[in-house]
Amino acid sequence: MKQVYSLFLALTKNWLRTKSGIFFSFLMPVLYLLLMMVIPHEDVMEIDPIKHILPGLIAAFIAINGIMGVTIGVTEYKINGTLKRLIASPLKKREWILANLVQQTLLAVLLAGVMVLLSIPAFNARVYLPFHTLMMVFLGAITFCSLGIFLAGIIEDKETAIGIANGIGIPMVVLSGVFIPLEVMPEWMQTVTKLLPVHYLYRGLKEVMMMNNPPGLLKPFIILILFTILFLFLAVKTVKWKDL
Amino acid sequence: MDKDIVIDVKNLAKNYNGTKAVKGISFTVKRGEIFSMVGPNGAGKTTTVEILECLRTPSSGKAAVLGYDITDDAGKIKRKIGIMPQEFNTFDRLTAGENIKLMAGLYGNKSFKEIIELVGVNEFENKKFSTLSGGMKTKVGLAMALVSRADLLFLDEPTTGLDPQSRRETWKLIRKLNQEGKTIFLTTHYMEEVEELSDRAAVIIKGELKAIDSIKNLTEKYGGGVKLIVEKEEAKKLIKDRTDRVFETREGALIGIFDSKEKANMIVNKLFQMDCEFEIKKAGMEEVFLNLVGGRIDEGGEIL
Repeated sequence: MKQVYSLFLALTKNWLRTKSGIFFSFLMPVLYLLLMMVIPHEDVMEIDPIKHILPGLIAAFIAINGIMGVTIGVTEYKINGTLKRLIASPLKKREWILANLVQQTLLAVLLAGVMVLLSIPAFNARVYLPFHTLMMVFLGAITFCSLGIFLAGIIEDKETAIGIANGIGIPMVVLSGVFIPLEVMPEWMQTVTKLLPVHYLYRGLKEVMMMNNPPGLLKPFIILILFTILFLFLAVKTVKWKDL
Repeated sequence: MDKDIVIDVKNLAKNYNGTKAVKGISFTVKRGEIFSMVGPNGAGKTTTVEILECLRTPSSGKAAVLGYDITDDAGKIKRKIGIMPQEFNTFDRLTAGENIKLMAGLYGNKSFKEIIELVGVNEFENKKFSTLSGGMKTKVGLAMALVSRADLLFLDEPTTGLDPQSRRETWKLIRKLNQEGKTIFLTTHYMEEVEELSDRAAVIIKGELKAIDSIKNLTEKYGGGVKLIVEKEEAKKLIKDRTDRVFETREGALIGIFDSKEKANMIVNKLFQMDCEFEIKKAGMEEVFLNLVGGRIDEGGEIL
């Protein structure tokens, strides 16, 4: 565990010193929140818009941080020799993956915290069930970080990483039901949306933190667990710890 | 295995998509020596060293590092060796000190301050890695290799791309580490580096070991006596008339190699008569390589 802690600290410090990382992970979600809250919603939503937008943006940016941040970041480490330097040490593959998961989880908790703390005074948001919410945030961070590590495991250069991360991340977030409510989507789009993990993260977060409805968490939680298992399995299989 | 042998390689081979990068090489490295593997780019140096560091899987053959099998005991080996990979890199937004601390943490070592001082990183410990010069980065790489507290260090082309002063500082440090009892496995394409540092060297070309011995024995066996370095055209012509073993340096000088002092002396007398300046040196690894391969390696590691 000492190795995981050392690497987690290094990853976090390195990330905190990246201006673009801070911007995309914290400032952009806040800007989106402010922007989306000033748009009139009455004609498309029956509920208070913050109940839809707050969990939606938290879910979307946890997904973006994992799919884009981790995929591009890990690919860069792979190409520039940083990963090789780590592999040459006694660090094990599972410790490397775990340190990344912990770092992304911390980032997701901070993101959710900032968004909630801003929404309470600014938009009169009422947030329920912090434990359940935190559990979903953890699970979401692990799911999308695993997906990012898996993608980085099969990508060989940074340009491809940027292309694939955008190609997967943006449609996934747009179609997730976060930006376009599921109810207004055509039927085929609803089917696609229901295949995306970010949709279940959004639904789960909404059920607990905004609707105070723990039983509604069960289905999204189980589906997200299944996605996590799949992505973690693929991440472990594709990350090379030899013959890099 | 002999207690004094820290690396034992037998018929080691590595193929990449049908290309034979390493072709069944065998050698040993003794405790306490500086062993150099020298060859041009693509000769198989890095592939060999990375197999020994457990970073690559061999296609065939066997190797033991510190008595552990590289295939079965990779975890044990990694804990007991220090590595500076080729084109070393690390977290560029962490400081030099933070990167060294990270590596110490990965080896489970708490103390690393004295290594920072030993290597001379203390002068720029708080600077971000991305802002460091090539020489400074090499020092960080060496410190990160040393925090393993290992007695066996693998340094893969540690001075490539460094300016002459940084290169000499790195050599000084490598010698110091060796004097403190560390065994050093070095790969390089700089012949001067091999001569300056190594106890023994292996010349590797296209995945095959062409020669392996002490520097003294290699130069005696393949170096072939004495070399004369001249710049004037008439002197160059004289040397070309007397020996076939000539090559031009990048600066435009001509180096002629003579088997014996007697032959070289005859030319020296002629050069005096012609009033031509010259330099005379004992033939070294440059000439060993020239004789074994039929070409020289340039600064970038390519055969001329």
